Amino acid sequence: MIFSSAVFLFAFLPLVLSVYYAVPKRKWKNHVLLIASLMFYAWGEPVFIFVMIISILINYIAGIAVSKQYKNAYYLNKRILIAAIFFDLSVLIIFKYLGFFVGNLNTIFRLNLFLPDISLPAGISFFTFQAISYVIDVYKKRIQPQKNLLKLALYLSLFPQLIAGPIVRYADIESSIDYRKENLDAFADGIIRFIIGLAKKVLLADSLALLADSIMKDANLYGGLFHNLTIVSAWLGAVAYAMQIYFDFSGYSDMAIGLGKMFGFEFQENFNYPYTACSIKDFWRRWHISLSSWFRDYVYIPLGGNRGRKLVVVRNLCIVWLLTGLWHGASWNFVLWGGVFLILLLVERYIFPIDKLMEKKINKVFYRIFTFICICCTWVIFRSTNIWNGIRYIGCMLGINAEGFYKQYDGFLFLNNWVLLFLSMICCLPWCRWLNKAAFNQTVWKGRFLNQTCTVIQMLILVILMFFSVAAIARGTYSPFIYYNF
Amino acid sequence: MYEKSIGSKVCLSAFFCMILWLFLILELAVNAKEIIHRVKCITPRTAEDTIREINFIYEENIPFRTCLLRLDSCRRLIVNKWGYEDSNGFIVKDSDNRLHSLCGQVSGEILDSEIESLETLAYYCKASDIPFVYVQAPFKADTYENDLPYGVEDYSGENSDYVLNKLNQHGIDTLDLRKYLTGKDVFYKTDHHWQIKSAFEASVIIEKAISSYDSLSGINQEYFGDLSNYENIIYEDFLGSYGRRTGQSYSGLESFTYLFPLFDTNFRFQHRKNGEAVTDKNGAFENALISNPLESDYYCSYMNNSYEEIIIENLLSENDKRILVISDSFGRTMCCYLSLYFSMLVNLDTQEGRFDGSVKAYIDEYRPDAVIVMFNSGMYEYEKTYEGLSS
Repeated sequence: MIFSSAVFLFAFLPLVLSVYYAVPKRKWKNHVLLIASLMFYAWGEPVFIFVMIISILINYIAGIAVSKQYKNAYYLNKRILIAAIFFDLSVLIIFKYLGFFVGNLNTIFRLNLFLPDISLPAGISFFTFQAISYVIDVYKKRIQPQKNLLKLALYLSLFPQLIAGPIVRYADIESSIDYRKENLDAFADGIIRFIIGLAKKVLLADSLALLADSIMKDANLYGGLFHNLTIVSAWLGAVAYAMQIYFDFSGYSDMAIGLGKMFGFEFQENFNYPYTACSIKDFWRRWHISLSSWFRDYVYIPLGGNRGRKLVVVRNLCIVWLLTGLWHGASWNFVLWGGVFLILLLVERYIFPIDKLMEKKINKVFYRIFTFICICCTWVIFRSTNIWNGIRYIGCMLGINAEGFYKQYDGFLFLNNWVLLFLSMICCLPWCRWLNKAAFNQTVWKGRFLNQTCTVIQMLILVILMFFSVAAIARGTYSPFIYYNF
Repeated sequence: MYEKSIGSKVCLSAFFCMILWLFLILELAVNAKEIIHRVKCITPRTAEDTIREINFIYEENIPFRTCLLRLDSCRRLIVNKWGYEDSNGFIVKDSDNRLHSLCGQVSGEILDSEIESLETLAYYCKASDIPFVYVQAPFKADTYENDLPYGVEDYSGENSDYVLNKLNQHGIDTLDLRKYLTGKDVFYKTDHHWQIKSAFEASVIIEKAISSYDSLSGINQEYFGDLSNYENIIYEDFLGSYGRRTGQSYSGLESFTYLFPLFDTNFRFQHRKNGEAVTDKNGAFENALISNPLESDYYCSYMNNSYEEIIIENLLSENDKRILVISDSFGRTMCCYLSLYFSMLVNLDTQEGRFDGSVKAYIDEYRPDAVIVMFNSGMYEYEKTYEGLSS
């Protein structure tokens, strides 16, 4: 079940909200949420729900076991931790990477091993990483193990963030499980966030998907040349895809955060206007923040982080970016995608130190644009069905093997979609924040008339967005959710 | 940041919950029985299929669907003024607000393989002493000097010219309807099909052409080809195939005119699927050949919303001639009028997923007095359609 579906919006959500708020006690509210979350997952994955339940049980047992003090068994805690991580990663490897590994073994060693065709359970990468972070945090004594199985199950299966993040740390919601207070402010904020996220997903991302797909689908390899792909259309496709993936994913995160607020949970932000980043390092502080911070805290820092010799740091970065690429998909293009970011980060760190360059304002502007261009190129690799198509596409963007600079059809694509592209560009920028900062001050906002006017305008916008989003859902708009199978 | 009042928060929360509950109640009111029935059928083995069905039922019956679709098409009108795209492809709007899908340039290799299929069938007919003619139906973007949006090109004319030239070079009889059917009113504004009047004119032109064959000479044509012998039944709320995809706000509505004979007719209509009769109707033209339209799709009401294998017997025919027409949906309307001239007309639709039997076996069994293959220029992009001809 996805948030932008009719079944979720007009069946699941109203029923769950009603039952949740009808039930008086916190304990029963948690039970309602747990049952709803399990049903939410089972609706999309009626078989793999059992995988998640087993994962919850194992991590529950591991969490308790790893927190105990064992006499005459000094390293037992560590062994339990390793076993738990091994189990979690095994689940992930079997469902997500086994086919990839076997396929590569067959190719490299010319074997004929059986290629398993295993479906990928939705959200497995997300709840597995949450489970791993829980057990590690218990081991490191950052948190107390959750002795109540149902509460741990609630944390791991909570439906707002189950399928596509953000990856929530147990420490962030530990107190919320027992002591959260639902209130009108949070509920209203949650609704606003949800509507905005829904609009981003179905109005922007899905429309951009049509544009990006129409260009990238036309980029058929034909005798070494990308058929019908000019430099302009290659860039248009890349930019459209960059926008699509941003609104797709950030929209879903907004909906997840909004839903969390409706139930009294505060999730961390997952995006912070990433296309305004002034460096690749800055980009990864703004994009999928929960994932990048997870890798930083559970892989990079334990490996040594920035400490040690240059080679050690480079090694650490290599491991992190290899894993980041692989996390996104079991395919070599994702590994290359991670590798490209590794190279860009190393360049920023050691060849063109970004911090010094950013001291000049003109450099900041230039590097923002350069960063966006690099990001667009990496998304091309991310989207490609294989590495060579991705590289050839980027070649077209740079004028290599393109069918010319411009064709009239490129003009049609741009003219037909300029409103959409313009709106997307606007929505990528933190204009609300800028407006607040630059044009208004506290004194002005306290004026009652202006306050009320802004409130009315905001309400109108939200109502319009809601109706247009529902209309788009009714249309059965082409709606590929890119991060669904991660 | 400005502060939102409590009142606004209450209003927002109430609005949101009200919308969700309103849709829930209306959905259940329409779909509850069906959903309960599906839920009862859930077993672990079929859980996935059952859930998929419930999802489908729920999504197909969203409340206020028509209004929501119109609202969405308003949005598309603002955001994508010149062209509309969905998972089924691209539709562009010309300066007269007519909707078109466009033909790409089909490679010579693909066209040659399709020509080969046509020729195989043509030679088979020739060997059986059955006249064969390939009829090129027009394509919407090619019928007049329309002002398509900047940068958009249509290659339907080029593709058709290539095929017709090659067939003529190899001695295959062809009939190019594009020469006769030109102008803005050949096709519907919001549909990819030709108008009923165009289909009627096509039937007259085709009948005149094939009556030159010895096996079909001496058939009275003029009466059936005179428009004054038909009455016009007009509906003003036609939303064609493109219009249903883009939404009424994007395309607008147009009128649809049925042409019903004023003279006596008596037909037997059969629709067969995998050799078995699915529909068997008798009656006058407008009763036997035309049914109630589904969702105002008047065009598809011809041939009773059916395709694959259609047999039309003209019980008042003054001759015993039999015609086999292999066509796409353009033939659906044309064949209804063409059947006035002959005692039997069989229409096969060889597009993918439709008639997949052997055309040659059909010819052997029915021994038609002529075989007509008619496709519009857009069909060159669908190779499977032509593969079925030579089976």
